[in-house]
Amino acid sequence: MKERVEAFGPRRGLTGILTEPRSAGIANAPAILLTNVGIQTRVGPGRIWVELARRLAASGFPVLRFDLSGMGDSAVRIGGASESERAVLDMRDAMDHLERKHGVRQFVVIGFCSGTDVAHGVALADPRVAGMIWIEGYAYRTRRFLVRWYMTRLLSLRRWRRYARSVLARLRLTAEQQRGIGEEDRIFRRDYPTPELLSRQLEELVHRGVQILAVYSGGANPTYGYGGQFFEMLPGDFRGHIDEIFVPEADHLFSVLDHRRTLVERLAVWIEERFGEKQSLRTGT
Amino acid sequence: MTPFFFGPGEHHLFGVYHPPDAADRRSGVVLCYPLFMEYEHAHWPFRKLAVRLAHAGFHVLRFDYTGTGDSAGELEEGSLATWRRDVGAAIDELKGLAGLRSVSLVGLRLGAALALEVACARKDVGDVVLWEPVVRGSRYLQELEDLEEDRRRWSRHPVPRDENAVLGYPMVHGLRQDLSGLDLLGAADGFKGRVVMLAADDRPDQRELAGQLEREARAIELRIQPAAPSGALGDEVLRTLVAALQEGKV
Repeated sequence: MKERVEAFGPRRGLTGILTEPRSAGIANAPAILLTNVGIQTRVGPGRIWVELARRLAASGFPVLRFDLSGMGDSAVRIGGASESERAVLDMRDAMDHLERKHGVRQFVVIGFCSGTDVAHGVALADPRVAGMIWIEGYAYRTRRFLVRWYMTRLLSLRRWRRYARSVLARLRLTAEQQRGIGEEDRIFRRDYPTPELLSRQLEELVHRGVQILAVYSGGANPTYGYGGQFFEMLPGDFRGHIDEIFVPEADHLFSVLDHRRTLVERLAVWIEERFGEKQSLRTGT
Repeated sequence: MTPFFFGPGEHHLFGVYHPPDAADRRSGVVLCYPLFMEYEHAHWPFRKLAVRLAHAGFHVLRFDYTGTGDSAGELEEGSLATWRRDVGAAIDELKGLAGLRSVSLVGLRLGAALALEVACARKDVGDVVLWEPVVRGSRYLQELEDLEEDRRRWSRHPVPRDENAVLGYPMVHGLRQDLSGLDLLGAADGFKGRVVMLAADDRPDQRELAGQLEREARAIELRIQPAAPSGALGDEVLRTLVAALQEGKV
């Protein structure tokens, strides 16, 4: 495994780390692109991206972890584009750079939490994207979700205790702290596409042959609660076309070490199965 | 701002060099990050601090320790001895890059403890800025365990107990022992330079360290700031840090 710093984009202002296999990797393997999770750097929460990049490089894939413009160690992108448009431009700069400098022609983009917007946006915009992984991406409640959600809460002593503790804790807050409640939600709120629009966009990607994996934890805001929800929350039928992994025991950032490392392994195995040596032999690429 | 790897191939360290963009003071500053979840919170304030110091004429290097950030290795391989060696490598790197004979160190939390220990062992460190230093490793470990307990208490999901991890970060037995033995009160001998300490207003152990340094006739300046999280990493603190280093060398 080799690692080197890459500077690219406008005035070489975007900063990333390219992790490559030590010897010749898989012929024509796609490069994996990883970016910021929320406001965290290219290292990822708990260093998840570093571990994933090294694991995939050991399997023959080049991986670029980089900071979007204005984040981590990357410079601000000058121009009037919106935040999401800038992020897509950043991703395309990364792809152009890897194509020009390293001859990579296909890419797998991975978005975690708000990074899903970036991965999804660039997958729609650029035909070089051959694979897309969402971790804690878009989620919509279903009827089954709501029934399970309220039933498990009403019948769980642990949750009643937790609720009582939170009510007591809230009573002890100062007026200023009380005002801060909910502020995080307002700051971090993201606009989701409607299920109908997302469904059409995913159909387009599936039709284009993009391999897609959606990963959800049980710790996301109360929107995702059971394995298979992905296939019930959208109007389109994606069974057999999109893969889903549901990890009910994990929290939103997979902050338990074991959960995070298991996730890294499952992501790596999925990428190997879809884009690894056997696949490239099968397709003759 | 130049990001790069330095050090031997298998054990490369990631660093970002900020050259001075104002009149060159012929002074350099190595920034020593905190560790574990505090590293993630500190990255942006450290970038801002580095930019401000470069603007004030300093050569600045911030870097990731072995097993952290973009540097080689896993956190399981980390030890205080390894990280002290990394601080030394960063000092040598900055001296070589900028052609300096000595540098100053700024360390936050555990990074401050490493900075002071390294400064005591070398003769090429000018000022040391201890930014909310971890004074006793045992207390630091207890704080991490308390946060872990809080997380267990408030999490929507059961958080499994893992004696080799804390707050989701690997914490192997060797490192735990290493940290338990860390005590800056007994380790500050030998450094003759100036020490500036930014201490939180609720940390008696930091005041105790300042008192000890003062009794041993070090040039110590103690600046009290509001306790974390409101004041720990804000702009006011960054201004104080830059001013403190500007006062040291001209």
